[in-house]
Formats: sequence, structure tokens, C-alpha cells
Amino acid sequence: MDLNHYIQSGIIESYVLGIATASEVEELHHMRRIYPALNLEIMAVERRIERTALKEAVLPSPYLKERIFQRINWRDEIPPPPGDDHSRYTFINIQSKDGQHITVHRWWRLFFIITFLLSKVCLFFAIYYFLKYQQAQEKKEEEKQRLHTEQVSSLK
Amino acid sequence: MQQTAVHIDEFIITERLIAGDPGAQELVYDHYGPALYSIILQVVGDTRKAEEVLTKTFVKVFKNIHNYKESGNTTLFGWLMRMAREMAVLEAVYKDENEPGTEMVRPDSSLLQRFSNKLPAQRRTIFHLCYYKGLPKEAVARILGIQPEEVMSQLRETMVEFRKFLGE
Repeated sequence: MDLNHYIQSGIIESYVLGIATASEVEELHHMRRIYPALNLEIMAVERRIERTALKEAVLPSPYLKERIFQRINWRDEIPPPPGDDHSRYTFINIQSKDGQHITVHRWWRLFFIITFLLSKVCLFFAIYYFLKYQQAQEKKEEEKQRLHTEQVSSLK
Repeated sequence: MQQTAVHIDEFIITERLIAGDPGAQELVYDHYGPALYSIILQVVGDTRKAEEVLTKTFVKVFKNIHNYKESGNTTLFGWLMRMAREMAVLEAVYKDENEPGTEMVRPDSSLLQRFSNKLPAQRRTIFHLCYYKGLPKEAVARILGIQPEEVMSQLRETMVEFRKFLGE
């Protein structure tokens, strides 16, 4: 292909503006390898557009620079080691939802322990008083027996 | 060369950018930021969106700077400019995807605007759809009801003219 004709075809401008098709770009890269002088042509077109673009520049609002560099630095930041950023975790309840389990307040644990101990105390007293009662009953029986034998012996 | 005075040394600056030098990043932003902002503004036509696109562009530029070196792109500005326009087109697609045929009113007198104002109506529309909307040639052909080959040849003529226009 005639290089000069190729250059005059407007392919460079099309590439520089970014509107060349993929096959055109591929062809251009192929041509650049064969004719390194083509690079100078591309560079010249880019420089011409650059000069105009710098002249026609529009200043964005001044706070934008800060915002952009904040975002860039934020991206570069090394994430903090795990363990000291609990606040960033979201609590996810992975407890099974099969209807067989219930969730209760922790005060219920204390309530159950107290109830359990109270029941043991009550049981202790129940046995204690039962034995005492039995003893008293036996004593009463003995007394009765003794009185009875005394009565019988006095009658004789 | 006269140009070299206004250009920052691209080779050194690229190496510094690859090394992640914040000073070099600021220098590039200060030097090229406003020019890229203008290019983006012409595509998206709204300052808030243009600022968002400029932000995304610079984040991408600093992240992918090694691509510039490896891809064999010629000038740094050329690479930046194509990336800025590409990002702007992507952003603009969301805005007027319902009416891709309509021509946005661009009252500014930028280089491309001055150039395209000289073009005959159909070639101007083709150029606008390709450059500002980023549409593939086939889509442009469908919108205008002509053959893709016709779009290609008209665009080629337009680019030949653009070459002349730049040389003036």
C-alpha cells in the first residue's frame, strides 16, 4: 500500500479522534510496524489537536481536583487489617428458621437458675419436714403405747 | 521544536505516573484536566455529568497508565483524549438513548464544532453520531436509512477534510 496515499486517507485523524473501527485500528497498527514514519504522522496530528484543546480548555470547578485526588488516594489505601473494623461488619443472623428454636432474652437464664435452685431448696425442706413429721408421729405413737401399758398395769 | 516548550516531558512523566508519584499525577491533572474537561463537556453537554466523567477518567488513567506505555500509543494527550471521549460517550448513552437521532445543540466554538459546522448536513449528522454518540457505522446507517458502506465512505471523506482543516 502506498504510504502517502494511506496517510492522506484520513485514517490517522479517524484513529486519533477514536472513531476508527476495530479493523481500521488493527490495520493502522500493522502499518505502523512496517512504516515507523507513520508514528510521526500520528504524533503530528495528536499534537495539533492537543494545542487547540489546551487553548480551548474549560476550567472545571476548583473543588473537583480535591475530589478526584481523594478518590484516587482512597483507592490506593491498603485495607485495614481484619479485627479492628468491627463496625463495618453487618450482622447476619444465620440461625435456622425451622420453627423448632426460639430466641429469648438472657435474663431468662438467671430466672431458670433461680427457679431450679429454689425447687431444690423446697425439695430439701419437704423431705426434712416429712422426716420430722414422721419422727413426731412415731413419738406420739410411742407415748400412746406407753400410756396404754401404764393404764393396763394400773388396772391390774 | 517550538512545541516542546509547552509540553511536559512525556517519557519522564509516564515513568513517574507508573511509579505512582502523586506530584506527577497532580501535574498531569493541572496540565491536561481542563482540556479533557472541555472535550467531555462537548459530548455530555452538562457540567455535573462532565465532572463525574472527568473523575472516572483520571481514576482510570492513573490506574491503567502502564497500558499507555505498552500499547504503543504515541502521545500522552492522544491517549488521554481518546479515553476521556470514550468515557463521556458511555455516560451520554444513558442520557439520550431514547432519541439517538437527535442532534444536541452545541453553541460552543470548539475545534470539532467549528469543523463540523462546515460540513454538508448528512455528513455532519454522520460525524456527530459517530463522534459524540459513539455509534457504530451500522447503527448510523440504520438511523439514516442508508448503506453502511455509504456511511464509511462519507466518514472517510469527512476525515480527509478534517486533515485539511487541521493543517490550515
